[in-house]
Formats: sequence, structure tokens, C-alpha cells
Amino acid sequence: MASIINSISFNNFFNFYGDYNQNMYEFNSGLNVIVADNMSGKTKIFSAFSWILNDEVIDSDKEINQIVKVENFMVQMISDKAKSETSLDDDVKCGVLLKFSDENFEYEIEKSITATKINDGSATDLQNWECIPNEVNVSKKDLSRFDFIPIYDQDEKLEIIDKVIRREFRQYSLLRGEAVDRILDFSNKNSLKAAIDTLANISKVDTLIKLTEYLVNRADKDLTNERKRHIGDKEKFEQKVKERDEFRKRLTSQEKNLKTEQQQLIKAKAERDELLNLVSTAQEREKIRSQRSLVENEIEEKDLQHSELLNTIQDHFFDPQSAWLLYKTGHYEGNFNKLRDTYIEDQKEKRIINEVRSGDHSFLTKLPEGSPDSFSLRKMLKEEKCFVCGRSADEHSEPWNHIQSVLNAHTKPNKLHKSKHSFNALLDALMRSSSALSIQIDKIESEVSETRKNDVKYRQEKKKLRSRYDDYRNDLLGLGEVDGHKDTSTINQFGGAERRVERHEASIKEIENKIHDLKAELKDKNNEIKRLSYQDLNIVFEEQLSILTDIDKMANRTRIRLMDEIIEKLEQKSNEYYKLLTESSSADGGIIRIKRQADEIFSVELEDKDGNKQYGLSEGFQRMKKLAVIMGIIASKEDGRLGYPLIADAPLSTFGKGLIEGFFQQVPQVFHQSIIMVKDLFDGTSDDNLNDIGKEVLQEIKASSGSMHLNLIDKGQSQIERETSIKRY
Amino acid sequence: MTSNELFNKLLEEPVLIEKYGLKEKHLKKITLTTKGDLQIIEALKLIIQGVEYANPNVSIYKQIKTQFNLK
Amino acid sequence: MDGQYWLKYLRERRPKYAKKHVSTLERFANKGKSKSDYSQFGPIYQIYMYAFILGFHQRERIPLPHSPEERITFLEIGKWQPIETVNYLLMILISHDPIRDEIGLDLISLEEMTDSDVQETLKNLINIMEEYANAGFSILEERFESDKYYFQEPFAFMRLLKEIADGKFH
Repeated sequence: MASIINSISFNNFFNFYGDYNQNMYEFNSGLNVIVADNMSGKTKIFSAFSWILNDEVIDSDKEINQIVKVENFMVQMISDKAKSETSLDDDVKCGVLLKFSDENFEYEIEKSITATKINDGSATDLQNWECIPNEVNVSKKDLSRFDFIPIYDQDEKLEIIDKVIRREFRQYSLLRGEAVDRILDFSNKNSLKAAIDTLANISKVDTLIKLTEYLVNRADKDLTNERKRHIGDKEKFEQKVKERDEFRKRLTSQEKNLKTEQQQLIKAKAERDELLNLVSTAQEREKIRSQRSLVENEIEEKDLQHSELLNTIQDHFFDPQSAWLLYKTGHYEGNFNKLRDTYIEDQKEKRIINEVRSGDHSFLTKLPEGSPDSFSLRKMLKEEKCFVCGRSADEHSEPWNHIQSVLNAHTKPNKLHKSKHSFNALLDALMRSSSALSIQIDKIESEVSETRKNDVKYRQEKKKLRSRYDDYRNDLLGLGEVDGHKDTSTINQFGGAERRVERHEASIKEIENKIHDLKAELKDKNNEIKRLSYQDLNIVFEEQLSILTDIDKMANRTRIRLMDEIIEKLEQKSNEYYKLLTESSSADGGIIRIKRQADEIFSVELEDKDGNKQYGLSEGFQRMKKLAVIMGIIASKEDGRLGYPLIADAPLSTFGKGLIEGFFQQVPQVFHQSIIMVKDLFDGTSDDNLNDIGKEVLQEIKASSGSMHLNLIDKGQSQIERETSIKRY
Repeated sequence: MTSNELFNKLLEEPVLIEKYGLKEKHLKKITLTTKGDLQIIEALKLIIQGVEYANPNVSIYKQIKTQFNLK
Repeated sequence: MDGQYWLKYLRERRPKYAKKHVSTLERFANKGKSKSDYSQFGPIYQIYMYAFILGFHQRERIPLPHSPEERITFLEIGKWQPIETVNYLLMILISHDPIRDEIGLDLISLEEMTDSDVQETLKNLINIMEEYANAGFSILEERFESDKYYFQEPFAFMRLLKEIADGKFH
């Protein structure tokens, strides 16, 4: 009977603030995808299903996600925003509501808690709250009716919850990334047993084997007693029997040791192989880390350069090479030059006027053209005659004195009237400075603009670098970021794991030798005992023991054969799915081989066509291998389709595009309803927030049945304010 | 897995042919209800039936001893 | 006295500022400490020159308070750096016609005046510089009052200077 989950809703559950109607995912049969970026609620949805089914949630505050019991995590589960809005002595409710149906009924299951704020203070401090779980509400409705009937009987409630996904199938239906590894750790007897039990019931054979073991023991005892009855020296006989039993004990104990060592060896090999895969991922992470730290250094350097630029801005005001202080003062130079020129002109004029005032007719020395020079003037004086007008000029007469003064004016040194003060040197000094700076002043505007541009450039470059830094950080998160130390120690661990493998192998050899020797000794002892017996011993006892021993061996070998057959079928089915899951990928994922390592221990490996173990396949293929085996288990069991929904938190980032496509195509073939939570279809920069693959998947869903939701979160808000809003396509 | 299926599975063990000299043709004809087979086969039948009916181990052993004519 | 003498005389003048602007000066001048903060200038004379330029572009003068207690004298102009910029500012003052008219800075007439007359005129010139600077400090304070974070931006001083020089203030 197939069950379908119709919806799941949240009330103040983790980052889903608000009541059920505001936080609802509605599902159909087929593929249902919830797209959510990191930190927007993926794991929380998974926690919701875990709560309903197992009373557990996932604590993602620790470095590695841990499953915790709801009763130990109540305060932390409540929406921070709802908590911060609750005042002292008030209540806040937090819950999950699941609606599902099968062929006959619709069901509703609600699990919730109520928290009361008992102390004033931080909303996130556990001490300030008192929480109690509320009664689990379950109700059902006949499909032909309209209303729901509440269920009060506790047993019936549990039965209904079980209908969602039956307990024994939960480990195969409710999948979280790492949990998948545990389910399929076939080096662990119990997980293999669980798988095989899911596939076929071989408990009868186990009972048979226990029986044959018992029968052999009894027959052996009877034989020994029979021998005892027929010998003379009972004491010696008993001594020998004792010794022989001692050896038997030691043999049994060594055989146990051997089994243990073999199991340890398998484990050690698995660890080593696991580390081999991890080493490559670790190397990739190291690469990203070193790139990231290069970017970090670049950011630091840019920042330094940027500060230097900004710190020298003020210098530009007063440095004569830049002189920013003198912005838009260039035109004063013109004024000043004019002033200076005027001053010099005025000075000249003043000199002239002074000379006039002081009786100095030197200005008259400006004779018209053709005037006599000083030689002629001297001649005139001597001859007492003016050559200009032709009249005579007696010595000391007025005309003669005039000629004398003209001569004096020509030849006498200039007796300038000296001013009290002069300012030429002052003006000269100022002029030198102004002409030195004036060229620069014109450049100020463009210099400032240039500096501003550089400032903007630095800011942009830093922003780009920071975004690259964030990208590296996200890449590391996608690869399952672990501490850098962890990665470097992974390599060391690998060495250690190899050594452990060697140790166990050596140990096994040693024990095998011991067993061999013990078996030989045992044989001798048995022969001694035989020799001590009389001839007319009833040999039928021997025959009986021999036959029962053979039957015991047959039973054990048959069990092995049966397991091999089951495993072979599983391997075949798994490879069918593996091929389909990986066919869109360009790389060759190899073939799945489930190999017997010891009596009840198998390993799931990937080999190439020639039977060589494939190493170094990406984590994506490893996960696909595991998923294929799970699907193989389910398909072998229930005519190919599991009547329970698959709820998976899928770390597709390690898959790669090809594998992601395969995944979305194949999963609906095996599970009639699947609810997959992914981040890798998210692209914040595209208009519908989906990347290429996301768009493809949406098309497929629209063409068949199913649904797609998108978790949106406002990253700009603080932690407490952040809520997840759900968008349905 | 039914008793018949288990029984037939056990009969596939090579030791029956190799050590006890049974022929394949003969083996095919053997069922839980046929009678008069080799001791090992008879013992096997008793054991399988014992498992089917969940008889106590002690009783099953006694039955086998009887079959071997032992006391 | 010749030009060198009067140049020296100018350089020996020690300008004053109003006491009430001390806090502004402290805020915008770090007096030669490590110059890593872009919201400050260095020595006081730098912020003084900046204030002068602001007031001058704005064509605004505010007389200093009368009483000597309200006035603080600081470093003589001759010690301001760099010399070229200081000279340029003096050049601006001298070249500005209204100023010359106001204080009677007629160089040719001054040539014949007494020493004390020339000194007086030059002192008045410096006085006017002080008044422009005084107005400049007010402008700075006004801007700081209206926006406490204005001067945290690296280009703030240049922006303010441009605003006023381009005539976009008020």
C-alpha cells in the first residue's frame, strides 16, 4: 500500500517563522524538489521529517551535523525571531504538521512543543525558557468523508505514524548524505545482515546451523563416552581426553581470533581505501585553500596601497608639486603681474617727475633730431657761440649758461631722488613663487579627479577580490570543508591505515599457522584416544559423528551459497541502476562488485572492465554507487517499487552535472514519491533563481507530476531577523 | 524459504556425490517424503523437519540416534 | 627700507586666531603626529591656511574678538611651509583690489611714507588675512555641525574647498 506525503508545514520551527499556513510545502507523487541555498533551511526540513518519524532532529551548530533527540533540543528548535518576540511569562509554540494519505484515508500528524519565557534576558539563552512537549495530534479522514476524526489511542497513533514510512525501511527511505555511508557499510556485519534480511529471509538456515552444531557436539560427547566404557586404563583415557579437549578449546579460540582479525582487516582495508579517496579530496581542498590565501594576500596588499593613497590626500594640499590648496586661484597671477608692472611703471614715472621737481631739466635733454652732441656743445662753449641758432653766447651769459647746463645734463652722473622704501624685492619674491605654482594650479582639477578615480578603482578591486574569496569559501563548504589541519593529517592517517592493514595481515598469518599446528596436534590426540580404545567399540558412534559433522559442514556451505546468490542478484540489480544513474556523466564510473571478504563480510567496490579496482573516482560516483545499491536492495525486495517516499538531503555538489541528471531521472523510477532537498540547482543571479540543471528539472516535473519549491532567505537580515520564505513554482 | 527449498539447496552440496557416492539422477528424485535413502539423507530429513516444527534439539538428536540404532 | 626688509617684516608677523576656534583647530590639526588619518591636517598653520582660503573664496571676513584674552597668537608666517604656497597666499592678498583700496596699499605712495606707516599697512594686510581665516573656521564648524561624519570621508576637505570655490556653498 503506497503512502504519499501531501504536505509538511512548520510553525516557528528553526528559521521558519510564522504559523503553518505561512510555511508549507505541498507535494505530489513523483519527483518533488526543494531548492535551497546553504543556510536557508534544507537540513531543517529534514529535521522536521525526523521529528515526526523518529523524535529526532539534526543539530547543525556543531562542526558535523549530529542527530539529537527532540527532548534535548527543544529551545534551540524554536524560531529565533519568534523567541525574541515573546515577552516574559508568555508562551511560544513550535511545531511540525505532516499530512499524508494512502488508498483509503487521509492522515494528519502534528508534533509540537510549547515554551514559556521564565526569565528576562537573551531570547537564545536556554536558561530563560521552560519547554514542554505537547500531546501528539493525529487524526484521520475517510476519503469519502469531509471531516477528520481525532485519534486518541496511543497505539493507533504510533501505527499511523508508522504508515508514513515503516520502521524497517526508514534507513533506506530517509537519507542524509553521511547516513547513506553507514547503511551500506557492509564491512559491518549488522548492516549487511540488515540488507540481506530485507532481501531474503534466511533465518531458517541460521537455525539449521545452530542445530547441526549442537548435534555434532552431542555425537562427539557420546562417542567419547562410548570409548571410555571400553578401555582399561580409565585414568589415562580421561587424561588424554582432557588434553584433547584442551586443544579443541585452544583451536576454537584461535578460530575466533582469526575471525576477529579478519573482520579487523576488512575494516582496516576499508578505512585505508576510504582515506585514499579522501586524500584526493583533501588535496583539492588544499589547492583551494592556497588559492584562497593568495587572494587574501592580494586583498591585504590592495588595502595597503589604498590606505597609502588616502593618507596622502592631505599632503597634496601643501606639496608645491600638487598645491591643491590653491584650487581656482590661478587668475590672481594675472592681477599680480599687472600690479607689479604698474608699480614699476609708476616708479619710472615718479623718477622723472622728481627730477623735474628738483630742477633737473634733464628732461629737456630730449633735444630734437639734429641736435649737437657733447663734443659740439663743448666747442660751442669754447667759441662762445651757439651753433643751433647762430647767435653769439658770451661766457656766463644766459645762453652760454644754458649750453653749459645741457652739457652737464649729458655728462653729469644721474642724481636720482631716492625713495624712502621700495618693494621690488618683495614683489619679485612673490612673483617667483606664483609663476612656479601657476602651471600646477591648472592641473589640480584633473589630479583630484584622477585620485578619486583611483580610490574608486581600489574599492572595486577590493570588492571583486573579496567576492572571489567568498567563492573559495563556498567551494570549500561544498567540498565538505574541514579544518585545514584535518586535511594534512588525512595523509598521515593514510600511512597509519596502511600500517594497520599490514599488521592485521601479519596477525592473520600467525594465527593461521597456529591453527594449522593445533589441528595437527588435535589429530594426534584423537588418534591416541582411538588407539587406547578396544576393538569391539561400537563404531556406529563414529559413523554418526562423521555423518553429522558432514551435515554441519553442508549446512554452513549452503548458507554461504545462499548468501552468494542473494548478493549476486543484488550486484546485478545495483549495476542496472548504477549504469542508468551514471550514463549522463562523461567519466566511466566502473562496475559495482560486491565481494565476499570473509565469512559474513562483504565489501562494495568499483572495478573497471578488467576487474581492477578503481581508485580516485570522485565522491559523486561513490555516492551514486551507494545509492544504486540501495535502489537495488529495494527493487529486489518489492517488485521494483518501494511504496514509501524517499526523503533525501542530497549533496549533489559532489556529483557533477552528468550525475545530477541521472539522479533526477532514475530516482522516480524506484520511488513513487521522492522529496529531494538540494542547493545545487540554485543560482541567485538568474531571474528565477535556478541554474541550467534546475530549469531542466523543473521542465521534467511540469511534464510529469511532482513539485518544486524554492527557499528564499534575506541574507541582509541579522540572525534573529532571518526567516525563510517559500516560493512554489 | 520453505523446508523443501532448503532441503533441495542442501542436496546441491558436492560432498554427497564426492564422498557418499550418490548419483545426480538419484539426488533429483529425493524429497522430504521419500523413504529408504542413505543414512546421511535420512538424518538430513530429520534435521530439516526438526527445524520446521521447531522441535527441541534434544529430541531431534534422540531421533537421529534411533535412526542409527544407537541407544 | 627695501623689499627684502619688508618681506622679512611680513614673515615675522605672527597671526592670531580666536580662542573659540581652539577645538576646531584641535580636531583638524594633529600638529605633526603620525599623519595616518585622512581627516586631519598636520601643523596648525596648514589648517589656518585652509581656513583662510575658504573664507577668501567665500569673500567673507569675520573680525577677531577685541579682547586679547580671546585671541591666540601662533607661529610666525616665515616658518610656515612650504614657502611657495605661503608666498602665493600673500600674493593673492596683495593682488585683490578691494583689499588694497581698503588698507591703502598703494605701493608707489607707500614708498614715501614713514616706516611706521608701512608697518601699519602691512599689519592691516595680515589682519585681513586673519579675518578671512576666522570666517573659514566658522565655515568648517558649520559643516561639522550639520554633518558629523562629513570629514570622515577621505576627500572631504577637497570637496568642501571645491564647493566654496565653485560658488556652490549656501
